[in-house]
Amino acid sequence: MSKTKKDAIAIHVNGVGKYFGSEPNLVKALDNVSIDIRRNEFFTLLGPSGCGKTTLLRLIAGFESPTFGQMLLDNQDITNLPPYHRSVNTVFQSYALFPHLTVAENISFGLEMLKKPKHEISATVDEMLALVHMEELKHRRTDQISGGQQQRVALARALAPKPDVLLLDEPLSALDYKLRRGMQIELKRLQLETGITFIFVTHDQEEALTMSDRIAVMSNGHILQVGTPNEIYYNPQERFVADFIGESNFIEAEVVSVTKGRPATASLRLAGTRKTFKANMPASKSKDKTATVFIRPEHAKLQKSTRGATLTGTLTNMLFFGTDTNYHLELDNGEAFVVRSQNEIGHAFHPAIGDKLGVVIDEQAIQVLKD
Amino acid sequence: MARKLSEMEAERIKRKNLANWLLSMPALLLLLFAASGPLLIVIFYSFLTPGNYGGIVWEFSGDAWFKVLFSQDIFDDTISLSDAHLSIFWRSVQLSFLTTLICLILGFPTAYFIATRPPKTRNIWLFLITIPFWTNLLIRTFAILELIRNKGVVNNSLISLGIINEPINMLYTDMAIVIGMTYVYLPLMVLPIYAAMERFDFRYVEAGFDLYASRFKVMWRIILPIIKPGVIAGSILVFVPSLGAYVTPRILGGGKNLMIGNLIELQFGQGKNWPLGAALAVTMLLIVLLALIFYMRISQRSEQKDAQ
Repeated sequence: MSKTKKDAIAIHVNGVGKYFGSEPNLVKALDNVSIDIRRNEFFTLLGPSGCGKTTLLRLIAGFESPTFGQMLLDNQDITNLPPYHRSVNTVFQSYALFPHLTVAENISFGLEMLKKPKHEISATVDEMLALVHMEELKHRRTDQISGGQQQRVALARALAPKPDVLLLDEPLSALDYKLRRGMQIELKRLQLETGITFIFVTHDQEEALTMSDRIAVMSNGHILQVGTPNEIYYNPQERFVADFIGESNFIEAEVVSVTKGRPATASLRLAGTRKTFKANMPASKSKDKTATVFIRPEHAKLQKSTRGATLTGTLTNMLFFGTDTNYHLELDNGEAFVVRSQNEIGHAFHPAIGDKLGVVIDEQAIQVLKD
Repeated sequence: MARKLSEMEAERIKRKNLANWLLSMPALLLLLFAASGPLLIVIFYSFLTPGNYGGIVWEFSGDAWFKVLFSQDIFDDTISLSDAHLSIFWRSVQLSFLTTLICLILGFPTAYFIATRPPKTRNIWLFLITIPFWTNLLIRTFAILELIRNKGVVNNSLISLGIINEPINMLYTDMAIVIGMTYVYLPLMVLPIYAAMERFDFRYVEAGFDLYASRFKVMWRIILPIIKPGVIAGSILVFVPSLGAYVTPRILGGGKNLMIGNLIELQFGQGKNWPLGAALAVTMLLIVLLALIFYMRISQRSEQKDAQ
């Protein structure tokens, strides 16, 4: 009934923790994590290695059971259900294709275990082979095909039983850069075509931003922030999130005044200077006198004159990147600041190292962080 | 230039080949003299005439080969199939097959257990498996005899526990031979299966569970097919020496339940018919060869089936 409803919850993770070992060597791989993953969503768990993203995936798959907490799949408790009783399939990082079976036999394995009728199995296998463009290699052994092709077979094998949720554990990490870009587009297409909920684990922020409907950024067994790629990129709530995704400037500032509203704004002053500027305030920010302010390098603009500038500083270095140039500045209070601007042909503005310059930043692009 | 390079390459490969031959020469010579030599002598002897007090007479005769399968009545010279020899062959194959099967049933879970231990403790378990090899086979076989005889440890404990009233007669039966051979050859089954299992990637098991396979299905459809080479190697290593076993059936079979090994020994000893002994030995070799070809055919056929 609610299958077509877009916002229905596919996976509900409620206060789940996973501890390994015992005191004094207790490792809290996951600590009190709660999350709702919607149906038909491309959801990404993003974080550095050891942040607990793979552990969370393995709990959802059923390879491990949580130390505490509860998990629901389509409103049914799956916390202690073995993996072979969950309508969840996994694309493994190592692919784990069965070496004694052919491509087609690998894909049909899950269907055979579900005791589907023979004609249905062969029809689904052909359908899956077509979906991942592998029709010609149907009868090959899995060690006779390339890494990219193995990746496709692993995908087809996991999609064939038409699970409610597909888990992908860093499936692109073993591919070279070009192949990886191609597979990113392919994965997104497969998700849209099949309408299956994808939960994707990666440490690659670019991968997360390009493919996901929503992203959960994880660190040290906790989920720090959940949001769309836009929200995560433009309005990170915590320093770790801002730092992990893209390049960031962090500057310390004094809070002069706070204006309530939605969103709340603050008037700030760069520590040690007189210049004030406005910024977005997060909802749950404590009322400290100082705050960390976050600005993306590409949201700042350089200008020759210091008049009317949000911040001022001295140019210390320039790094040319082809499409862009990074300008490294030392602000008046001594803090470092980077401005990234696109290179244009016939650009008249050629600053030199040692020049005193102004930096203009839109209020919308200045974000006060929670911590 | 290109031609010169290819010539140099050919020269290099030639020299490398020569080096490889020289390096393997000691082993090849040893094999030639220590394995092929005695075998050729045995085959040669099987075509000679037996001497009156053992040994051979240098005179060609096909008599030994005739006697392997047929016997001639002393009184009326009628020729009939040699029941005694055939039944011993058949018993040997049966008992060896049974031993292999029991070793497989016992050895597989053992190997699985060891392979799934943490790497540090695995070596301890392997070490324990090899301990029986430290003691002489004869002594170990007598120890088994002590265990299973009518007033032995097994029967006495069963009686004192009240499970049985009369001792079970195990000694000097086919069962005693199978128990003895299973005990002796079990490590030869465990080790190759362990070697295959150790290389087995247990992520396949997770992949199987993930694709709705139960524990039984994972064992049957994933683990067993992948470690099949280990199972085949173990089975051959148990079956072949079982077929030629001599000490175990001699002691535990009590001389009544002969196997091929005992029959051969009889010809060289009391029977004083060396050519017949030699012919029987070659026959056993052929049985092993046939069994191996049969086994290979089966595994090849299942592989071809897999590839289709």
